[in-house]
Amino acid sequence: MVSYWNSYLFIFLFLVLGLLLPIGALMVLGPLLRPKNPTPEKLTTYESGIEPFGEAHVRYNVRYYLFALMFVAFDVEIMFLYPWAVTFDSLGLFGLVEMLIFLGLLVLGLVYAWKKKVLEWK
Amino acid sequence: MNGINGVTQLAFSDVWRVMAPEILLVLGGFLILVLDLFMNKESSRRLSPQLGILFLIAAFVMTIRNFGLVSDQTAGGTGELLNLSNMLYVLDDFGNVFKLLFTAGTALVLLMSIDFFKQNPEVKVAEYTYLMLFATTGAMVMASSLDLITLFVGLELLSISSYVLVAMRRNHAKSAEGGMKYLVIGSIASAMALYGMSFLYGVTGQTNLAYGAQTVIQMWLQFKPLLTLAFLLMLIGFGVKVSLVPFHQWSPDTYEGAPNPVTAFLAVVSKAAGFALILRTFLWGFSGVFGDVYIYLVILAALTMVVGNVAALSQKNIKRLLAYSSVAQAGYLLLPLAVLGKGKSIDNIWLALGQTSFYLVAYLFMTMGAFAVLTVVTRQAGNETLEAFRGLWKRAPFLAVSMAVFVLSMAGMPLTAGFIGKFYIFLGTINTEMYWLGGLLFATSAIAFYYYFGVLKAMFLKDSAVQSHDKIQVPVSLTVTIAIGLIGTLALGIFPDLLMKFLNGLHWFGQ
Amino acid sequence: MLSVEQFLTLGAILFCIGLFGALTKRNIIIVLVSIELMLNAVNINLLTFARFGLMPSINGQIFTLFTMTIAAAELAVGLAVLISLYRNRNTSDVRDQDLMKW
Repeated sequence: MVSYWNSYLFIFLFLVLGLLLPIGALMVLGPLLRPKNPTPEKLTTYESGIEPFGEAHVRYNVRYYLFALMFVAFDVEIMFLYPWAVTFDSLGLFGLVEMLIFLGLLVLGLVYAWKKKVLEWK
Repeated sequence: MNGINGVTQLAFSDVWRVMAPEILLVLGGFLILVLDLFMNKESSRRLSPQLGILFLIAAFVMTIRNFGLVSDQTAGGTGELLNLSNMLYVLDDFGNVFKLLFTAGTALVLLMSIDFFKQNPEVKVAEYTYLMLFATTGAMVMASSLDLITLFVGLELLSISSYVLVAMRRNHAKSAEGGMKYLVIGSIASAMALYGMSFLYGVTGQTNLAYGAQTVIQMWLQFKPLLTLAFLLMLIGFGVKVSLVPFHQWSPDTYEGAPNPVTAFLAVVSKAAGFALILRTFLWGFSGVFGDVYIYLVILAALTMVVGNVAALSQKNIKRLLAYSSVAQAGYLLLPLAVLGKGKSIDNIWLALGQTSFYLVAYLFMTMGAFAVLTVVTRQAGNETLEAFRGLWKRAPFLAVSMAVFVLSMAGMPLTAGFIGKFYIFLGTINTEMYWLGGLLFATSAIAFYYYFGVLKAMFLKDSAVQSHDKIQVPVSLTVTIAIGLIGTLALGIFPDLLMKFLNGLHWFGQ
Repeated sequence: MLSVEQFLTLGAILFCIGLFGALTKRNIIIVLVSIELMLNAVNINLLTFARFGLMPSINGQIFTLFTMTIAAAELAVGLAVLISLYRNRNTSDVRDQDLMKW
């Protein structure tokens, strides 16, 4: 019983240390010890030593969104395979055919995207 | 249909018997999709709408066959509905009537669209057509499912397809804006309805409305606040879809931004589907306790009639005017259901369903016709204000007279379908002794006359703003649409018994 | 042991945050995210009722699967419409959607 609580004591110690160390180091000790002398150069963004250029908020190529949309659409449909697989035995032939129709429609969606040249990266 | 391990076994023949029109439309949609991938552009553009109309007509015919199946079942059956998977999906005349409405409405919309495709070469015809077919399938599912899950899937199939249809014109900023507004408001509405459904499920322990209704009655006293909350959330969600006040804000903007045929689709098919969903959910799920919740429907119906008509008074844009008018019509359409809570007997339910359906059919004819006329006139004038209609009588008498008939029918002039529809609804309010609602119906119709009169005045009394008095060319497809609308509106206005007899003889919920 | 009420409260809080965000936020992306939050609150509700409800049944879990799929489809269409809007207007701020009177 004692050792049981001891192990919790260790976890508690780790928790306290884990919280105290970053707070102490970053928020209390750091500002006290470091010299405070900001210049414009120091305040610029660090970009491997070269002059920073462009905006931080860059616009991504719209094609990323198309891939993301495709992924979302197909990814979520796969969820339906799980309940189907669990009840596969009792569903019988009808269930199998129905799932094949479902997957066929998904494949049709993929063919559609392919033919509409969504999958090409130009 | 025997159950093994709690899983219902289905056979393909059963599925075909119960949902033939839906299957046809889905097949048609995918056929158009595949053909579009493998055909050249011009023939796909030409063929897709024709194929779409063909499949809609096939679905229409199959629905007519289904009326026979339902009456066979009631004549020789065990009193049980024709259904799939333990009442998940049913075949009854309520669904059949709505399916006729949806297929006919979408076929007319596609007919109107043929001209729209010619004017807008950037619109992708095949995608437009199969989205229409899928949206109609969603509407059909909403009309004949009895399970919250399937009802929700149907609702979203319709909604998501319509979001895309509204935003279809890619180089048209208003179109995208209208689509975005519809999408945001529509999604919030779906989430609210879904939240309500989750409480209904939580209390009854099942998603089926037919079985859940019994549990709702048992649980009503114990869980009244929770069930009322579920009812209200669902009412808000569905109310947005049929644009009841105060959830109508999206409709004028979306109607203005959408292409004309899509606006007609939203105004007729989408709205009818919303009402099918409302009637299905509330008349089944809350049938036992309807007397306790109908008051919210009465309030919404009254608000909708008043605000819709008053807001229409100040509209200069003809599409926005029709949008507000369609908001007001939603109020009239809700009345028969709303007054049911007062006098709650079986006869009243069938009468109320008859009234709603009759008004929806009338509404279908006059709205389709009005939007077809609107398309021609606004294109020729180059703007969508009332000014475009000035002097139409001199430029195109046929268009002017048809528009006059449609507008008078919307206002409720005798000898038109709109009057008969409103009159039946008025009788319903008298039957249930809700006289003030009947009075409100009359008062708001009087307001409606005022703004519809503005359209009439512009057409017949004012001179044309356009200098040239040359004749307006009306494309064939639009002429057919206008003619169908005109014949329907006048025929139902003069011989209402044609439809009313049919509606009164139906086995609405299979009984 | 967690009780039903706690799960339902979590669902209600999430739903309210989502509704608040959807109605007040200016960026359309955030609005879409808020709508997802509302739908996920519904999922929590459904799963709670399916597991700890008065009459537990599998239907709630099935419902959740469908909700998730539909939410994904809705979001995909939302992003597509947003891109089309952005190309036309060069903004994703709700306040700029004023071509037509709101």
